[in-house]
Amino acid sequence: MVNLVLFDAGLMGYSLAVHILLVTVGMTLPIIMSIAEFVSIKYKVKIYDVLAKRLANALIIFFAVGTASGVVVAIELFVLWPKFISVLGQVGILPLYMEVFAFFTEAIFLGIYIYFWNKFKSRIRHWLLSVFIAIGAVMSGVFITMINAFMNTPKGFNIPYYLSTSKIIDVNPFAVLNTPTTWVEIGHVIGSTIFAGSAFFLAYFAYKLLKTKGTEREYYKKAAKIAAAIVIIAIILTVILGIESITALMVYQPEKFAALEMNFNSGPHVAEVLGGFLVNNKTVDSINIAGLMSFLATGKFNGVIASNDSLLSYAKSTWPPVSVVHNTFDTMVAIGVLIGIIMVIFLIIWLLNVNKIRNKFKSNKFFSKLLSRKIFSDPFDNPLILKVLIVIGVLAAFLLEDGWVTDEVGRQPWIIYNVMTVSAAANTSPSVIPVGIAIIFFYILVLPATVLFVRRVMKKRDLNKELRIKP
Amino acid sequence: MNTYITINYVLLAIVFTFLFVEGMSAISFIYDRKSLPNVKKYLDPVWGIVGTFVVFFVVNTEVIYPAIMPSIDYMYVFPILLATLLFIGRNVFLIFSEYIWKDSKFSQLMLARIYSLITFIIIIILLSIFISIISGVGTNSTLTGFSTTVFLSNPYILGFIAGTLLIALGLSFVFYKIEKMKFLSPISTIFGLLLFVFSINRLGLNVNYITYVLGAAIALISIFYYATGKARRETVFIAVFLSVISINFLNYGKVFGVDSLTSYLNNSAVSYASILVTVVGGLLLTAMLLFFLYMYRLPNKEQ
Repeated sequence: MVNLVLFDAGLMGYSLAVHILLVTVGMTLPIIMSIAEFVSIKYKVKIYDVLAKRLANALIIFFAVGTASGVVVAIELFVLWPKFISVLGQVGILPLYMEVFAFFTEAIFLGIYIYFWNKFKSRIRHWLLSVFIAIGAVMSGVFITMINAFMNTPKGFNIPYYLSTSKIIDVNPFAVLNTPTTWVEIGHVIGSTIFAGSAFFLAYFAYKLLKTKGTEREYYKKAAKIAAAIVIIAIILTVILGIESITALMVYQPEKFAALEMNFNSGPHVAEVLGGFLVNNKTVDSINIAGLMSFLATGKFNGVIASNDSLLSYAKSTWPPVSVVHNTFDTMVAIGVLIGIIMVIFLIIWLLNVNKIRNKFKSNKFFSKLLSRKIFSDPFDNPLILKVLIVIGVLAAFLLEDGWVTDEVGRQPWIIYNVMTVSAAANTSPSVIPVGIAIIFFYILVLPATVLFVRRVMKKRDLNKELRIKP
Repeated sequence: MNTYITINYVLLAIVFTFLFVEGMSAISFIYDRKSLPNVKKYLDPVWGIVGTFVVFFVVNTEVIYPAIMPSIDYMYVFPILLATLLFIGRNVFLIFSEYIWKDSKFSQLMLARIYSLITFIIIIILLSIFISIISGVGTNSTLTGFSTTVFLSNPYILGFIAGTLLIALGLSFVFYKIEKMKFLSPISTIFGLLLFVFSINRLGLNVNYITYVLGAAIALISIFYYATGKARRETVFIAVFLSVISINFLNYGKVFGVDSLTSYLNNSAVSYASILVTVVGGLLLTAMLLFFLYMYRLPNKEQ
């Protein structure tokens, strides 16, 4: 007999895991496209115009799949978790409703942007559409994250009364827009999504830089520069807001924080636990760094960690799968910081290749010698750095999924933290199984097919023809 | 009349109008390959907006009647998820047909026809869910189960679906100005209308003179096209929109075969907030759609 709660959770989790990959593309492509078109108009460089057009074509294909995938996730949310959605509908549905209008903004302006491109006399007006597309895409993410923040830190109704009577009173429908974790979560989610999306594209452009020559290489270099700039800004913001998220977690979801840290201690000099597993309520195979958790949380090695930040303060039945979330959390932090450091080094090398800056340093003999080393050459022409960027693109996808698993599994067994469990919310109709399996297989086919299709469509285009250059 | 229910009915009418037109596209692709460029010219810019309207209606329903959702979810989980799954296929094949390269082994027409078939199935599923919710056919008294056998063995349910599709076939000639065998247009439309009205009447749904007036108007659109070869798309849009909304208002508050929709309404705070969002969002949406329409009608600039 299939556990239907587990099946629902697995199906939802799988659909979201695929969907967030499409979201990263859908959120980042309009930004790159918009920058490319703006540069093309401002500096009258045709190659950026071609880039914007190509990205627009890729965007519409990804949008077709992404939008359908979004509908799948939205419908799954409704049909797989009817009791959750019933509570959400009576308390915190507004962001989901607002998201529809953000979605409309993206869909309508994208339609105009692509299909009526030639109808615009003013290029700047056409470019403005791309700004609205980007705003629509980002705002969709903002509103959906508000729902997630509500699930983590519910607000806007009388929770004690609901827990004792199952009735909802004292509703404030706007409270969901500003829960204690809403804004920090939005910052972290949007930042990490744009980081991951731009890292994918940077990896693709880096790969193309390794494989192409001449005008085509010039084209990919310009594209890579835009993507790299976005990656650098996004990763720095994501790391900063990630730290803020952990602080918010300590205050508003201490049990989840304790699980993520696999922490059983409180008081001063609490050690940071790196890696390891939980066996019979004991931590094994971990690296413990004395006082580090106290330092990270309070800025002092003898800082006090509150007792509610320890798993011992909670019944074991409400713990999430500690070993899983602790390791996904540690992995996320480690990879995120590593990528952050690499991208800062990348930025320094990049800046040192800007002519004005390089000339200043060249007058100094030591720096002149240092800068003549290969590692300090133009990073977009350095095969080693390009290969590193490809690896970062792959890691970014992993990081995104890993962070999402940490957040969602870390909230288990709750669907609404301390209010409703996942099992109480689930649809236990057996009809879910066959179509659920079909959705899983369909996604397996659709996503690679779409990526291959876009690749082929782009490959079939002749850059020289688009630039109107005679071969 | 309740404002919230009215807004929901208006959205439902918009969704079904767009879907109905997509259904006509689907029929046209399969029926006449020459209609492809004409159909694509309409469909390419609007497919994304149609999908968004579906989401708009679903979320609006959730906002207005959250308490009804557990029953709907439990009874219709299979068709709803199936339609959703097919919705991905709809988008994928439509966009693939648009961007497919010339020397591919999959032709644009072939991909468009697969899109058509999928869209056709989605429309049948959505029509089935709609008629089951409004008439109660197939649902049990406790609203915890749905019987496909009971639903499909009801001849009037089949009549409703077949009638709707026949009207779509008849009007597809008008909407896409298809010349091939256009005598079928009035025949199909009129026969479909008769079957449709007879079926909904037999299903216990209200029908009155408004239904007959709208039915006559739709029939006239088809006859006029057959006789003169002239047609305006707006007339089809308006006629279908008014027909769907009139069915809803004639059966006001009816859900699962009984008049109980108002008992499912959300608490006042969320409903009030939803009105604010609907008004602000609706104004933005109207402005965006007007801009879209303006651009749609604008001639291409010479490059």
